[in-house]
Amino acid sequence: MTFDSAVLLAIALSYLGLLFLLAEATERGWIPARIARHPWVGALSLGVYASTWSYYGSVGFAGSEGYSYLTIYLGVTLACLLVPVVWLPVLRLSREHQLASLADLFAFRYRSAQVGVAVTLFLLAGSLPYLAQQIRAVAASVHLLTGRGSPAFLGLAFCLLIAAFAVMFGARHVTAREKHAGLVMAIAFESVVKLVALLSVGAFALFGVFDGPAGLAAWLRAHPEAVEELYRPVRDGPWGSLLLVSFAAAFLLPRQYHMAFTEAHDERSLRTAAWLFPLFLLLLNLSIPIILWAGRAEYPGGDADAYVLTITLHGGSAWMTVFIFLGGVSAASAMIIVSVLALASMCMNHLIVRRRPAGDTDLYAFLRWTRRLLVVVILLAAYGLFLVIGENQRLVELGLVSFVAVAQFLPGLFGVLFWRRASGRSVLLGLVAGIGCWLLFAVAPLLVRSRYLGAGFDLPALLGVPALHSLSFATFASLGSNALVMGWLSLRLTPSAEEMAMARVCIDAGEPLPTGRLEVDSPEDFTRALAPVLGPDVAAREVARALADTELAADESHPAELRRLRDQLQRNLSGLLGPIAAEGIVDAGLRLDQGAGSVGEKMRALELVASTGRRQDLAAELDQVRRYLRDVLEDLPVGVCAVGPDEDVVLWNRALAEITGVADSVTGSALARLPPPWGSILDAFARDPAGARKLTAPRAGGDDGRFQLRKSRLAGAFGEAPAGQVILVEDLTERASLEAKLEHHERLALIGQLAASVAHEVGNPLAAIASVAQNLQSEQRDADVVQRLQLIRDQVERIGGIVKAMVVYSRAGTSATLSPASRFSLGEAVDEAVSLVRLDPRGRVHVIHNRCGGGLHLYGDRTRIIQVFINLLHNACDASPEEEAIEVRARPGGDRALIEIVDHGAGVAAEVRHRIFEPFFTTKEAGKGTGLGLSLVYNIVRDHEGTLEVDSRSGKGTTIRLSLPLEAG
Amino acid sequence: MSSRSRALAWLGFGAAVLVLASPLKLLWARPVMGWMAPFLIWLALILLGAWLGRSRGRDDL
Repeated sequence: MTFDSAVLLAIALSYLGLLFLLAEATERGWIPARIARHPWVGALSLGVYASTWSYYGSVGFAGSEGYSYLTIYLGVTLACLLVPVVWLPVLRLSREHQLASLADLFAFRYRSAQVGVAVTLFLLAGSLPYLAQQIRAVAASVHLLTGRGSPAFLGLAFCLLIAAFAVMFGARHVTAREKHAGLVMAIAFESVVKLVALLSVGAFALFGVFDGPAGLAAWLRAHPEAVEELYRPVRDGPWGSLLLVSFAAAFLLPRQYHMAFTEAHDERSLRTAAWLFPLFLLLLNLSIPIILWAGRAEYPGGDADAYVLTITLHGGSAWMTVFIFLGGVSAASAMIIVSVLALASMCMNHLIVRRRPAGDTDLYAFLRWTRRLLVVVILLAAYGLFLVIGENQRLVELGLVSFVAVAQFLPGLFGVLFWRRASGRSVLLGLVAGIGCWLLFAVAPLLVRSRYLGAGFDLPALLGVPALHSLSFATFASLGSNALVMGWLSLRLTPSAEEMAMARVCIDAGEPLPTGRLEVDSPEDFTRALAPVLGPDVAAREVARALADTELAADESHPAELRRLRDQLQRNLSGLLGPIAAEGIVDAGLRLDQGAGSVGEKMRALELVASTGRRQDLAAELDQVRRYLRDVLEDLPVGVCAVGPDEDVVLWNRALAEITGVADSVTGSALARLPPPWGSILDAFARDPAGARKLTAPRAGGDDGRFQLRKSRLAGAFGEAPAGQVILVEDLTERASLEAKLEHHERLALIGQLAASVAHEVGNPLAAIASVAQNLQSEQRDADVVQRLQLIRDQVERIGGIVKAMVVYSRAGTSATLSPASRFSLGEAVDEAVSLVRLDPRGRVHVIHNRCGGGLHLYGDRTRIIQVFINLLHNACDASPEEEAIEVRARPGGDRALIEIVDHGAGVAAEVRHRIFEPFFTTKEAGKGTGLGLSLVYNIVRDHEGTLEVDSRSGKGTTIRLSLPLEAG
Repeated sequence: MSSRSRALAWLGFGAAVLVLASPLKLLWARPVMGWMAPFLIWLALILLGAWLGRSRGRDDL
């Protein structure tokens, strides 16, 4: 049975058309997202691993190496067991930092453009022969089915179709953050097609060739060597090295990395792939021994690589043959499409982008079209290699050589995920050593066998390595030298701070710690700074996208948030241009003040790590201590401001926020840029050599307060010196007021003691004078002398009154003079005081209104409280013009009575207002007051735990406000 | 991902390496075990991975 090549081409075209349709339907949302994003779809898309090598070549591989062919898939199974510790961390890094390829990952971790270039070139070199092999397999299958047709033409036609699909569905988006759901769906579909096709061949072999399981068993009994041949290489062959290289290939091959990490929607796909992907491979390989035996039974001596097709071609129906052919097309096309896209992305980011001239060109269009061009160029390069290689090599040989090349990235990946000391230089030199050995021990012997090189280049053979173990020798020599060079250099070289920071990001799943302060102030500045490199439109779109990602406002100005915006922008640009170009662009446009070690930002990053639940690597106890210390600082009753070495605010505690009215969100801001006046005050104090200062400044409420500033320099935090300083801001306003009151009380007490002493000392001689004057008066008859003696007695009596008042004052407030406390009506007490005041001629000329009502009852010494009102009303009468009304009013205020005595008299001048409670201070004319009335009032009120305030305006009157305790209950 | 999950993954991997890459493979890589023995071993490893995955899933909740 033969086919017309045009028919086969049309069938292949139709199949690819179906793929186009499926991908387009997925992209347009015609296929529901719950199907398109189902974990099974993602897991099955990893079936791209099975290329024509698996589809056609496995039978040939099994024919020559027995069950060793299974190692190519058992290694994958081993890798899948490590999904949680290898695959998922790589996925997390790829997603968070938008790393589209292995080259991006290595360049990101090792902060090295050279590493990125090396990985790209090595993967390109390792993949091109493998791609060429796929083209050859399809061309050969067409040739086999048609019996004619130019392989070169068939290969070219196939390449062009594949290029069209890859360009349309794989290079649609320019950034790694946008997934190609259509591509994933199409690749998953292709996995199913090749699985069903290969199972169909197996079923045909079993039932069509052997007449069922019984027939197969009979054939095996007749040919016991068939099973023995399969098992022998397991014991003697390169089993271990094949397991190792396929373990690496499971996730390091460009197409595997692309489907597993770049196009993955979420972790669920990989968790599902951990069992579904190996199961898919098992089913795919289950029929390989049967096909091999069927081929040997039917076509002994035939090319085992072609058994999949020849069995059905000669024994099956035309439709089945076409279907099997499509399975091969499917295996080849999926592998080529994904590999080429992954390689194009790497070439773009590490070979092209950095050479792009900056300017106003549309960056997105440039990236899109260059990537498409790269797809075509890589495909043409693979096609060119296919023409060169021709029929020289077996499918399996080229595949294995590629696998050994890919395994060279294992040591580097170990450094990415597990080893902090691994540095860019050590990885690069390790790779060079490994690839050098790969060229010498794997590629050169291949070229010798292909007759492109002389036998002298087959070093393994020259070293006496048996041909059977040639691959093992190449694998362990290249991988060993690679790992040794990398390990030795990593131990000898000290990684840079940047590499250590990235190691923390990759290994500890931490956030990159910021290393300086941003020199721009707003997102608008971001756009302006990036416009010269990205172009104004792209810069604006990227800044807007980063703002949306970080949920920041367009007018954000907080330094810490702007820093976060910068990080997000760098990540987004990494997905667009690769990590090295993104870092270069962001560093150039959005410079950081590297001299400033922003401790505040570091603390903020640590807080972020803690708040995002990535504390698994932090000791819980350490975290508790950190929180405790933070709470202590936050709740201190003194304002605390910690300032980093670059004078940015590291800590701004709650008390300081309350004192200054500046919110604690200023953390991360420069001290001098805080709102006035505290920004300038603290900035000046931070620069002041003096360690303490007292000053008056506005408080949060607007009124002036008295403050004490102290500071202390910090040293050693975070291993940097100096580490800034801590400033304490103590609000002295209340304390100053209390100190003034205390001083006043002490002065009053001193005067009281003085008054008591004076009264005591003056009283006795005064009594003697009065007595002598009285005696003399009774003995004298001279009227003039008697009158003069009376004058002496009057003046002595007056002095006696003053002395008596002093004694009363001096004793006021002592418990000895207090009457027992009782409940009494405030209104009645005021009435009684008014009645007594009216006995005095000064009291009769005024109208005194008692508006206290009868509802309020005080608890205290009623007599002394009445004395308070008498004294205050006397003063009010003295200060008020005649007939002017005086008012006494009261209202409850909590557990107190708030009493006001209001007059509209002369008032008290401001300059003497603070002295009116001092004893003997009076503003009345001489002889009209002792200056003890208000002092007495003050003492009595204080004894009742009351308060006394004077609100007076000169010429407008005075209001005395009393607060006295109400009776409880 | 808890450290227990990671430990389980490494344990599973170690067990699989032991079965596939150590001299233990000679126990099953014999014609008397039948031609399907490698596939059954393979299936057992897949089931082990799935079981560990389920354990991890519960552990991570």
